[in-house]
Amino acid sequence: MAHIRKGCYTIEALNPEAPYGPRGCIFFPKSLELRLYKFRRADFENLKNVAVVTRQTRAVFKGVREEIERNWGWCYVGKPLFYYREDGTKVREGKNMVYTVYVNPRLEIYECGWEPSDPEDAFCPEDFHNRYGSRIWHWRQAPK
Amino acid sequence: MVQHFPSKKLKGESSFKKVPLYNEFGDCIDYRTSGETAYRDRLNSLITLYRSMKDDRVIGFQIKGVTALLRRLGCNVLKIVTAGTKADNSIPLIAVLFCAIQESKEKAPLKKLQELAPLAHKIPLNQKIPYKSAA
Repeated sequence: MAHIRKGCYTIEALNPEAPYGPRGCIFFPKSLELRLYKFRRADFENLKNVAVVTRQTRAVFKGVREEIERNWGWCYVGKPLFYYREDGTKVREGKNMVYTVYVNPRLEIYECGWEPSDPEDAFCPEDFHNRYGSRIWHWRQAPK
Repeated sequence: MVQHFPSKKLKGESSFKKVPLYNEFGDCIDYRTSGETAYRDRLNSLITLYRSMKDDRVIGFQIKGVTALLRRLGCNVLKIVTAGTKADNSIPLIAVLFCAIQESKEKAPLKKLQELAPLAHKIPLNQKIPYKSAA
């Protein structure tokens, strides 16, 4: 996996193409970061949680747009302790949510955000059985 | 390997804008009526609601697969443009939203549609998605 991509931050993460193998990289476009900073400041502040998700990934799903295109993209899931307000204030997350990081087939992060967790598995997004193509990694099944 | 992400060096004004923002990396549109922290609540396979983290009210939505939806509406789309790029055509956001509700094979829960309706009702017709037409 190439570690540098022009115009992007390189973020170390589970390799979605081989999640049980060596770690790889995903990328965050700097133009997207700037757009969030300018117009979606709360979303920008919550990008601090991307590192929590990539360092302590709880699950990875493949196929995040099954109705549009099968096996398109991935979703990394984590459970940060805090969310951030638009002024940067840190608040303890208390609604039993997960933070999801969506990645396109070019390994570029295009969306990050909070979502309710599933009643069956607090480390997965709500209704994960029906929404995604397949779960390709779960922290409880990771080799120690 | 993370290089100071997100950056602490970004400068300039941050001001929330109540306009549709097209994300070319995910072919999706984000529309919000408030800049507060939100969480995502799926409506169907093509639309996600944004709810306020503070009080759970609907404050926006995201539409996915926008290029295909525009073509479904008869737009001869080459590329949806982002800020700073010249467009030669556009379509009202509300038309794209209705198309996404209709086109998804997954039925949207009525209660959530009812929560989206007051917000959708207030979207002005001049909130448009600009695009470049194919030759």
